[in-house]
Amino acid sequence: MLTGLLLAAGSAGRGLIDLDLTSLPLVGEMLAEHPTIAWPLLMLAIGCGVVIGYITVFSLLAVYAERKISAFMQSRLGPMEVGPYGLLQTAADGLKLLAKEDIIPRDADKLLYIIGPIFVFTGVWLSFVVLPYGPDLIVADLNVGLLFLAAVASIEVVGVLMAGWASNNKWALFGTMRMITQLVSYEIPIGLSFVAVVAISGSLSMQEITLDQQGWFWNWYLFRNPFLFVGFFLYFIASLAETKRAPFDLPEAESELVAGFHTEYTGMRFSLFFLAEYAAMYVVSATAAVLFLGGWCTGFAFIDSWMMESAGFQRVLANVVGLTSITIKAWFLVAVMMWLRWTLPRIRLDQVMYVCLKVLLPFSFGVLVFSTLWELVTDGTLFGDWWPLFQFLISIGGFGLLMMNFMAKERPYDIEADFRPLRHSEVHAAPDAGARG
Amino acid sequence: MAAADVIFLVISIIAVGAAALAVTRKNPIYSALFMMVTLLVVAAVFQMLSSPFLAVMQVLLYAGAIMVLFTFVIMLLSLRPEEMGETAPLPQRIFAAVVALGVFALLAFPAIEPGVPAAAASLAPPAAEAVRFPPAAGTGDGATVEFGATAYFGHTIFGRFVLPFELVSILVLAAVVAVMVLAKRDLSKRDVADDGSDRDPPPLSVSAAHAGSIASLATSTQPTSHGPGA
Amino acid sequence: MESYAPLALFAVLLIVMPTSMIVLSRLLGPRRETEVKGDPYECGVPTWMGARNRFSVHFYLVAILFILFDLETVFLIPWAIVYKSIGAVALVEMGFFLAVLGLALVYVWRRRGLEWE
Repeated sequence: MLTGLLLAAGSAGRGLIDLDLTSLPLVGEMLAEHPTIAWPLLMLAIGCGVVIGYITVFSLLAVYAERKISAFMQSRLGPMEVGPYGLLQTAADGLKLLAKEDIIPRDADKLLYIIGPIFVFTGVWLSFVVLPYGPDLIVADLNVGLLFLAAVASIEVVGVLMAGWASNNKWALFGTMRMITQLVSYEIPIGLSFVAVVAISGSLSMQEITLDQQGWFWNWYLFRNPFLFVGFFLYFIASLAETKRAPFDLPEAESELVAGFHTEYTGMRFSLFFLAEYAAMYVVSATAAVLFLGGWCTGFAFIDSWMMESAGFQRVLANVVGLTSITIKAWFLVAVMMWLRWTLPRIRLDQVMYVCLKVLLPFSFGVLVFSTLWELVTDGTLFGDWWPLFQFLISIGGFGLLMMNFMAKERPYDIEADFRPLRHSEVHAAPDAGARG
Repeated sequence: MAAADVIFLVISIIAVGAAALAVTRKNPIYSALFMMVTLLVVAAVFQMLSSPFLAVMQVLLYAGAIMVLFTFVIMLLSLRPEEMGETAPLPQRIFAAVVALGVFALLAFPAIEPGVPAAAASLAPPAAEAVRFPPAAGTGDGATVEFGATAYFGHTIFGRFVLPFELVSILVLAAVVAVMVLAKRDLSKRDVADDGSDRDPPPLSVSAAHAGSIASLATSTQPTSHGPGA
Repeated sequence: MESYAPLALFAVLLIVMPTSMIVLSRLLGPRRETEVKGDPYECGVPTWMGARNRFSVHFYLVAILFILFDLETVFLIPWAIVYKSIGAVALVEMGFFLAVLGLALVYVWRRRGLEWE
């Protein structure tokens, strides 16, 4: 957040020079000289307000959806009392949290305890600045957009460290250590997936990455080549860990660590973490949608070209279509995340590290190298205009063959191999481990 | 004074103030956090110099990764309150001051040297200008990019400064080896018998257990209670 | 195209919003501080073993490996943007860089630095 502010302060300095207002440092004088500047500023404020409202509504709905989905998967009804079908349950919970007592533990480091949640919350929500929602719907189309996402994510890590350390509670500290280890490790495969996409788009701007995927859905980067197809799944798995969703939810494993790094937080401060968590789910899903699923593009060439060419009222309509498109894609990925939560068991810390360092890392290296090579060799147009369609078929075909290969292998399910308990030799790494007879 | 100068002044006051706080705090966590503030503010300076790429990198690498490492180390050691604020012996402090002043002089020298297009008149940054890169020896057709843009760094690193860039990889390799040696002191003890493959050892079967116990009997002077006869 | 003013406004809003939420809850919520409420949470039993423990050095290993590989990502980004205009030469340059880093990864892997013990 501080970053954004400072970055912005730096550029505001530059912007003023561009406007040739270098002799007018005071905003009041500036407005007196250029009364038209007030109007865009007001529009901007309304725009930012709308985006914040969008995130809030998403978070409330996502919490509701998670409770409903988990209920249906367990043959329950879920929230039913507040509002029709329990729709207002989350809002009621929010009000309840607002009225809770705000406790700061006696031994906590007061300053860090207070700014920790604000850091995390602002860090995550600031990501929405660079997410595109339509041809004209983006708060700030930075030309380092994708890197900005990574940078604010690293600020969030610092916020978690502050909160967890300041709580002065051993469960919070254990949760923090686990969480930082996990977040930091999975940032590498995520960064490599970013690079693989950037190598094809040639730009870090989220809007330009989206525009590069216009037309039929086989133009999406997901089907750009067989390697990026794999890259999407690598990114998705890594983003599960990045948002500490199951099966990677061990930083806040409630059965062993109470609640992880926010064990000591109550009321509104807790709900800030909660809102940040659900917003982060949207951020990674929308990022996946932009990078691999065409962002706000619909996947139909005639609609996309209409969206770009329309003007006036049609342009507004085009933006609504774009917003709907990216919202559906992001919600689909969020729904998959929730589905996974109630399907897969939580894994151990050593397994988390194994998945990251020995599976995702080498694979994303491979994806990067081979996807770049493929791009250089085919040059995007090997067989003329229909090459994207060929690439789409190659990607799908390759994946199908892989799946058939998997299914053809008759493997008796070996629970010992998949979830084997720790051995004695691993628990007690004593030199006489081999001497057990 | 131009607006950019005002902003620059504010930014530099924050940077210097936070740096001073970082070295005077007793609690190392606070030192690290104030250092992070300084690093973030330096990102704003990069932004003022028309390089959003450098600014974001500053946040990502320094304020993010390096700060995580610092706080990690502080938490790993987790000093007790009575251990905080212990100062180093005097000779060491004098030496540190001399080194710090030397580095400062080294950095400040180009700024005061005549002939360098210094920020004499105004601190306002130069307007972004387009730079033309000739094509590389092989294929490609060159490019014209804006100064400070991400592509500018790409062309500079992979054109003019290829050799230093490749040497960085060697440096990283050396760092990795050093980390392994520091963090895994006992690796020679444990990995001698390892055949180098990273597969899990086979589950202990009866014969393997026997072989292990016989081997341990052969090497150790004391008999164990888990011997084959037990 | 570079528009940082919205970013500034958004950042200000995002600092004001959580702060006002917390202030509001402090105004609305009850304030009854007791001795026990201030204790660190320990499932209702008296606290044992404080929070200031030393951790395994393995966490340090993870953090520093992260920095090294993050550094490599940082070099990859400008490369990814320009490699099309530089051409095959860029691929060779990055190939060498990645090969050395791959060597580092193999070294750590063989030395069991990636194992969590």
